[in-house]
Amino acid sequence: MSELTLGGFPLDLLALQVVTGVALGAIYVLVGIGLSLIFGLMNVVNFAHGAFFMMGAYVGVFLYGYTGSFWLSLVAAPLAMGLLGLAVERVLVRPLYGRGIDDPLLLTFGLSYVMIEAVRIAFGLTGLPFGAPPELRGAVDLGIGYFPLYRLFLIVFAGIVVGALWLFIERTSFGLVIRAGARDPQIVQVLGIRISRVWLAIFGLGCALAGLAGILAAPLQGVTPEMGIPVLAEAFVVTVVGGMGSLAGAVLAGLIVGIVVAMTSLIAPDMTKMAIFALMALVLLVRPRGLLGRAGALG
Amino acid sequence: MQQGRTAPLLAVEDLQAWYGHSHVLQGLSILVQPGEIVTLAGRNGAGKTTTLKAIMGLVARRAGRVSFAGEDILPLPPDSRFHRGLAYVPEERRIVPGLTVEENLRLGILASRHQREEARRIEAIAETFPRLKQRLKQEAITMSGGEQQMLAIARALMAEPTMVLLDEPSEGIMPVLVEEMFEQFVAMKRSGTTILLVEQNVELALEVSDRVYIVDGGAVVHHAPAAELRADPEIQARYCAV
Repeated sequence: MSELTLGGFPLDLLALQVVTGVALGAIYVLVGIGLSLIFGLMNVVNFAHGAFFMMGAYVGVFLYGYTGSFWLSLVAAPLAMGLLGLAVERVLVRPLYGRGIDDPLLLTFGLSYVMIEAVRIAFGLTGLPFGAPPELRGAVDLGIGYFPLYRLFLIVFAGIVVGALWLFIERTSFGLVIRAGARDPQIVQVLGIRISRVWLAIFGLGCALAGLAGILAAPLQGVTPEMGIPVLAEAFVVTVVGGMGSLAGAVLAGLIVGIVVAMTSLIAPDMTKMAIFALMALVLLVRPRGLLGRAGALG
Repeated sequence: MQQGRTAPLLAVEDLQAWYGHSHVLQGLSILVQPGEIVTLAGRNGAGKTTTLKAIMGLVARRAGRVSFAGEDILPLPPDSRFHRGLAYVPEERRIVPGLTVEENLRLGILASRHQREEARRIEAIAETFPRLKQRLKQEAITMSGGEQQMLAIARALMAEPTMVLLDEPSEGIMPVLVEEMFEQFVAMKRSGTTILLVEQNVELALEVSDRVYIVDGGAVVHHAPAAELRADPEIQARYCAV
């Protein structure tokens, strides 16, 4: 089996690289869903999304240093970023509703630099090393080769989070309000729902997901104050490719982007950035609304 | 006038509203007694739809007084007005795309204090609107215009409002369905729901209404019991010709 090759690469290696891409995609999915939910519902482009990702990673790594429990970090990082997100929406973003898409965009853009500077002041310019916790180190034999246990955990954990989110949106009353509010916020208000509270909750939820993705990504690459900047660009690609506001679209696009990045880095490592933007351009040409825009879970 | 008899459920006094620089409502005043069906008639652009929107809290620039059940509701946001017992069925129906008929109905009750009775209310509404009953699991936006209008009304009734504001319910709907719908309005009145109706089909509106206000240029220009107007085609022609 290992003799089979494609383009000079053994098939086993290619298959393993696809799984690597799925693990990478799991991070993109979590970041992309939050960005997509916030945009789809509130028409706010959250340029601070990458900074929430980065800060979540720092909160997690910092707490891990104190408590030695990765699982605690996994709960605390999204919680902390969720709370920060609630405060940001309530104090900074809310006064800008009704003033077009530019004002919240500029605000969150500025906020991202404030957050990056704050982390530089608190933790230094150079970043911190961080590895997978001992219980998740090592590799598993997938039949096509050995695969790092942590990345496998990443896939499974993100899958559980996405599944829970899907149930929340499709099966609960609050989820119904979210789906309706994404399409027609005014009628939701007429039916007695304070839409500003829904927006607050969604902004918090999106930021919590970014923070969760941050701590999950930390063992792959360590943490630096700038780690959120490329992730923001990748998350934008995910939301555009998947379709703004579509949960299923963000999942599909996140996985595709992850696999494209993994495959490109095998064949032409310098061209990964270009490859995902080429993918985005292609999707925009063929389906301007994204793969599942206006057809997915949220619309 | 009937002010003296009972306290009005809805009292609109000197209502003003603007869209940008255009002064749409210029001192409009109406009273609606509990249990009445009152129609706002008048030409297109007279300010009828804006009146309903202002009562529901959907006009940003407004002044005057709107009191509902004795409380000044003008400063309140739309969701607070819903919780006071006001329901609004907009002209465009605003059925939420991507949701089933049942989900649209659930949306009408999940914020209300009747939320626990959701299943029972959906069942009761489905009995009242048999056309919706067979389509509960269907995506609502795929239904015909008339069925969507039924759904919009049913959704507004889910939380058992005291008063319903209905904007042009017969617009673009097959005549047979319009008759069915107006029979519903009479049934709603019988069960104690107050209705403020904006309707282009004046003839039909006069049949079910108690009183009529004729609106022109953003203010009331004529006010009479429906029976009186029915016998006065001249007034009808003067103010209501489209």
